[in-house]
Amino acid sequence: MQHKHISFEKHLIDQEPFYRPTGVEIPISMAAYEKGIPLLLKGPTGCGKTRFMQYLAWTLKRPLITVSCHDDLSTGDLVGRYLIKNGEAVWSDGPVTMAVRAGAICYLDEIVEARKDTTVIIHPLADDRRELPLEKKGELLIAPPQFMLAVSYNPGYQSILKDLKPSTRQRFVSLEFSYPPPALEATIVSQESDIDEKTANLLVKIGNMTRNLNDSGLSEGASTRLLIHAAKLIRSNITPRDACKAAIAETLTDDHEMLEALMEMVTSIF
Amino acid sequence: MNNKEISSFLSKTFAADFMDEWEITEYTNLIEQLPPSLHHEILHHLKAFWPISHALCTSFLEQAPHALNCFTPNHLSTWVKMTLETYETHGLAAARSFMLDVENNFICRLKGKNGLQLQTVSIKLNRYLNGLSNKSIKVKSGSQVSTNSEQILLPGEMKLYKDNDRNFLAYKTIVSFQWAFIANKSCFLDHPAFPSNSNPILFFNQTPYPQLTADLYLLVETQRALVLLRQELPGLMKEAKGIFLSIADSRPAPDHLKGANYIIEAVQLLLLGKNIANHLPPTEQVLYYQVIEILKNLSPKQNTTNTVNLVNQLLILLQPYASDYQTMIPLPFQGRPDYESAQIILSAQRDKAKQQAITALGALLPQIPASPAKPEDEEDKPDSSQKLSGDNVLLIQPKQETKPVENRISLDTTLSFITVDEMNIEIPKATQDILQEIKNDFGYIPESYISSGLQIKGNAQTSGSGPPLRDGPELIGKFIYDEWDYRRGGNRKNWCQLFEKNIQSIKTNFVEQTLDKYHGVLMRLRRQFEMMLVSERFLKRQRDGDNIDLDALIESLSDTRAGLAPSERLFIKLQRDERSICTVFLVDMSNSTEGWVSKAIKEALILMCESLEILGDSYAIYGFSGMRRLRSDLYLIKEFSHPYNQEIKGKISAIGPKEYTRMGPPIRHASRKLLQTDAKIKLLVTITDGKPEDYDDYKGDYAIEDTRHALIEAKMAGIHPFCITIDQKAKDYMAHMFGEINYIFINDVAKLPNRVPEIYRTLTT
Repeated sequence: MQHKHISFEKHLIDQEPFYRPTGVEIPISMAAYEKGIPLLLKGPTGCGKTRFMQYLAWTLKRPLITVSCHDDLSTGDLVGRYLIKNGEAVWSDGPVTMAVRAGAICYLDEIVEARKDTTVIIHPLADDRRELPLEKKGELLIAPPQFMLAVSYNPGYQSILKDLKPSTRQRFVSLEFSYPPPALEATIVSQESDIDEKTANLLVKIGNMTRNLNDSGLSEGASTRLLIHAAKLIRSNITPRDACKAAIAETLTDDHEMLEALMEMVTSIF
Repeated sequence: MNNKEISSFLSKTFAADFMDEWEITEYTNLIEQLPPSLHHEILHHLKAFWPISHALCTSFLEQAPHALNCFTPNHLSTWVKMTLETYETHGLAAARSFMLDVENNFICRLKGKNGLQLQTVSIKLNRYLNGLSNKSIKVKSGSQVSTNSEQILLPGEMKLYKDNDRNFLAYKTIVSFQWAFIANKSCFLDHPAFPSNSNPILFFNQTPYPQLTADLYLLVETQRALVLLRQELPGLMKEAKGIFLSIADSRPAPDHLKGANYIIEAVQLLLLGKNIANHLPPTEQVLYYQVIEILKNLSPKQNTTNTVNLVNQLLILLQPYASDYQTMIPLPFQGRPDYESAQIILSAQRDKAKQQAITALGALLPQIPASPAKPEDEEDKPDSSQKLSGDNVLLIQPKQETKPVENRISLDTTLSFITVDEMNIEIPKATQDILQEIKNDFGYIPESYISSGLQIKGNAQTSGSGPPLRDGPELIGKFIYDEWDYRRGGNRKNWCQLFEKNIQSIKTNFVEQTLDKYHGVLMRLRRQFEMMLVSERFLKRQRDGDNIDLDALIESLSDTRAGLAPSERLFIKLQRDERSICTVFLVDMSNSTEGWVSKAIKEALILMCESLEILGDSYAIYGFSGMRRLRSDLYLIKEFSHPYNQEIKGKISAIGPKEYTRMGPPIRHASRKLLQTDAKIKLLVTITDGKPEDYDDYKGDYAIEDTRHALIEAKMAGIHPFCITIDQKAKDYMAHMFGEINYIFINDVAKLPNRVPEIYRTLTT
């Protein structure tokens, strides 16, 4: 039997990802890393959670292994399983096992999407035991000090079925992510899309206007990611109004009245 | 149809809706006068009018003959629809006056002569405003454009242009300007010579020429608003240029104006983009340039202090012409800010903040004697001794000498601590926020707030025992519940009585009408709920099943090769997910729901029941109301075990406004009932139109905190509470009560029936 080993370099992030801190998330996560405490990132979609993980991995010079969770994810998908290769049973590590072996950062994105019976396998890894039992293999992996576990979720989903069990939640240091302050968000939009600061500022204004509409029936305002999309379209010579309509207004809602109101905001700005 | 046929139709159709014989005769006679070919259609419309308002029904039949002389019968439905819309938005009197003047109110609008109606675009404008400001500001129809910082008055219709797109742009421009006045706090004076946030009229009246001062103030504030709008909404300013120019062209020629009026009009025109400097007489021209020079010193970051200083400079310049000055005609988007009304709103906000601060401080200072103890009524203050000996008492020994209370207490400048008898008490974050708000308003915390806080310290909630109980055949059971008193941080034991009551099922065609009205919606809902029902998934790795699980098989083979015991779970099974969900819909039956709200709630419940019947989720419906702590009523509309049948439909139809909204006891009782079920997921959905409030002192923070606590108790027991509200001010307290993501605000009552099933679907998928 052979072990399939992670190629360390493949998951290393070479270039510094663009990330601007909005609070004390960097010192807290560095401290958590040093002390071997897992991280829980929560915040609305497109506000920079994944980018933060990339930045953290780059800073710590550790590989980053990301798993996008879904409700069909099984423990085997996370931990690994035996496969037959050339008539021989070969153990294949799952992403979590790979990360533990390599002392990488394992990031389970949108963890609430996975079924609760799947997520319990990270429990022994997420407390002070820091171990991962590979039942099939009869092996108990102890995570090296370099290993870090991080999970993320969006608490804004109003589904009672998609919530984190307290027993899972209470193993983490939690960081709340939100949309950055306007000036910083404009810098991010400008940097990511290579658009001028002035247009980036106007896009951020639209973003903030849509976020004020939470009480008028819009479930979630425009994320920084959407603003970047709009900026990229503008950079490709699409008119700002068309870009905002396609990247922001139409993406946020199907309701025609709401769409009209959103477009009124766009036409007030551009 | 002849007299007899009409009469028989009316008695058959409206028998259950309490149409008496007098009304039947009256209506029959009125209908008989109409062309026989329209009888059927008129009777059809009557069905729409009758449940809404009997008076409107009569007016409809009285006005219909005249209306049918003005337009062809094919417009009758549109006329009826517009009448009903007018009734919904402006009430009976407005609907009657709409029907009276068919020519102006209907025919002109039909021909597109009336321009753009505010009511047709108000939702869009309100959302636009919400986007601009995170405060709740609403547009409303009014005689002149103005704002009072909470609402913006706009003309009921906009007919500046033939083209309604441009009319909408005009509305949008006015709204944006008025928003800029609100954002710049133009209605409040912020100047060292006046108390904080004073009425600008105080300043106007201090000068020898109040009217000129008022106009100059508005001019400078308009310029400031313009600077803000150019910075914040460049797109709108670009688009509105054409509107500005056409407004400038439509203003009376300024040649006949003199002195200050001429100069001010020239500046107003310049704001609109039209420069008439060259047409001004030489003296006025020099003054005009001086005025422009002064106005250049404006930026949106400055406040009204700067405005007052600039107005004073302008007054010195224009003083020689002041005695002849006549009030200027405001620009359409400028209007006249309603300074008086803004002060009333500010004062209400201050009262609220004061009350909150006093209560919060009172709760912080329970142990310091303020005044000689008064005899306490045992009923009113049942647990005060318990409060003083509770865990939350701060152990500070009051000094023996009788110093004035105010001297012994001082607030830290950062509002983090309150010092009592040289001892620091930390102020909770919520109280700090309230105090900060007051400090921002006044510039300091008035001492009277602290001393008043001391006066009420330790006071338990006062409450009467309520009206005598009315035991009747509807009474099913009596239950006793605790109530949470946030100031003592504990429960008032056995404080509330809740009565389970039966609601009499009534016979009506309300359900049929609703099903008919929402036929399309219902089809869509049925399809969506059916899709939820067939949420099938393949269960992998089963001992038996419909198909072989290849992954499992391969793994099992590999395990065998690896020398491990192979798994026997090698099959895939198609499984229908069992929805083990149990829901209680707790419906607010307070008297504030009277009219459209109650109707919308009932319609929503019917659509919800129809959808849930498809899904098979277990659900119960309870209505709640009551008066005072000894009589909270919970009306059993549908229990979990009841099938959705005619009787339940009749009970839903019978839901109607009762008394007050004491939310704590019904939430506790509904939670208790939910906990008796064995569903995996227990959901408590409250549908309400306002905040909890009762006839006694169950209001404000006390009511909110008790409701919040009842919900926390429910959450701890594993129930998921959620609230659907139509209260415009929900944002102020709902997030605190239910949690930020556990409530939804629906801004249009008419959308409630549509939205409730959708919300349920989102919650449970």
